Amino acid sequence: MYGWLWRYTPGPWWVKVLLFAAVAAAIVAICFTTFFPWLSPLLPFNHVTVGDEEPPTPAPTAQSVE
Amino acid sequence: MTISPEGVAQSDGLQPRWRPLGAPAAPATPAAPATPAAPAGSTPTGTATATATPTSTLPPPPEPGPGASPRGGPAASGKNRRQRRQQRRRRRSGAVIGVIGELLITVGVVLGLYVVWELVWTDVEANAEAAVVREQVVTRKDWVIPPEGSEFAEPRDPAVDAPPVDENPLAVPGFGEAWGTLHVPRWGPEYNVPIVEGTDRVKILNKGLIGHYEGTQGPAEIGNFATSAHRTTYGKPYNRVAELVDGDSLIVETAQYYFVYKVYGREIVYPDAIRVIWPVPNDKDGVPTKRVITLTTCHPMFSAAQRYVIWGELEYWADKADGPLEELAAQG
Repeated sequence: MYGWLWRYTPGPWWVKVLLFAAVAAAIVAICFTTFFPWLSPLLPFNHVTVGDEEPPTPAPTAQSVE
Repeated sequence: MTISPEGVAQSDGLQPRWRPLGAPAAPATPAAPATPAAPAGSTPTGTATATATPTSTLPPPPEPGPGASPRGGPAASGKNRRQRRQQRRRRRSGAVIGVIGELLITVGVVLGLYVVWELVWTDVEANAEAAVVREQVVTRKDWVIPPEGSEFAEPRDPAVDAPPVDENPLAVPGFGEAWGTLHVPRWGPEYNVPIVEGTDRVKILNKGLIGHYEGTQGPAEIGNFATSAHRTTYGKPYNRVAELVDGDSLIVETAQYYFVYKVYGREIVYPDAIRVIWPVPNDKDGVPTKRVITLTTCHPMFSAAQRYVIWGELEYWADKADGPLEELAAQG
């Protein structure tokens, strides 16, 4: 896959290296700014409140919740 | 692997080289040591590529050497074809495995990047956001800066001198509003994290802030002042929650007052244990008489299977207008 990409990338080797580096940087940037922030709330590693399963907006009062 | 260079040879680079080699081989004397080697090497080339040109050029050297003759014979072509098919199949499956391997490596790299993002980058971003909020809080119009050089603020016993809950204009803040900060001397003199109304993960907690459970009591109120914050990511305000020992101070600073709680208990519970933030923790029908603070965060670290809970009780409070809090000043 990467060998194929390398072979079909135009230009001399240093142009290929620059292109690959630019594409890799762009992918990392997309991951950090868009993909990971979207993914993170879907994963269960960051839940810190009790009663997480409750919907967040109508917050339960301490008295009323079971 | 043996085929791919030949494919290249046919197209451009190597073809002019082996053709001249083959061409002089026929007229030249067989005495030259290089000539038998050249057709012997090129024989599989011609058969493997199976094009008209190489086979037509190959017959001219009929005396390449004894080693090459059984291979070039017409009887061998069927075996060669089978070999070729096998080779092609092997090559194709190898390519598929190679692509799968590369994809798996890529997934591994992305997962590694996610860990770096989660454990390092969220802290960077959240600390910056929390710093902005802290600046907003301490520059509020009603935020009292304790007068410098004066006496320390007098500690007041809540049992004797009821804390000014109702007079506090920030007693009932709106969702997302930052109305105070938390100091924990055990976590260092620099520790000063804004407290914001609400515990929404994305809007509040992921900004490195401490969230106040909406609907629970306010600071110094009788009942349960319940808070939550991250422990390992997003600025991790409650990172060192397990270091707290009984008697440690949890100092809530509001616009006008200091409320100093002392840690008295801890529990590790499952995420649905909302009982820990009831007005009387763990007692649904209890009538609140104590002024309790609750800290909840995830447990174990880097997981969220459970929750770590710390309780403290209000020991004293002080008016910021009277001067700085001795406990905080003593820290430097």
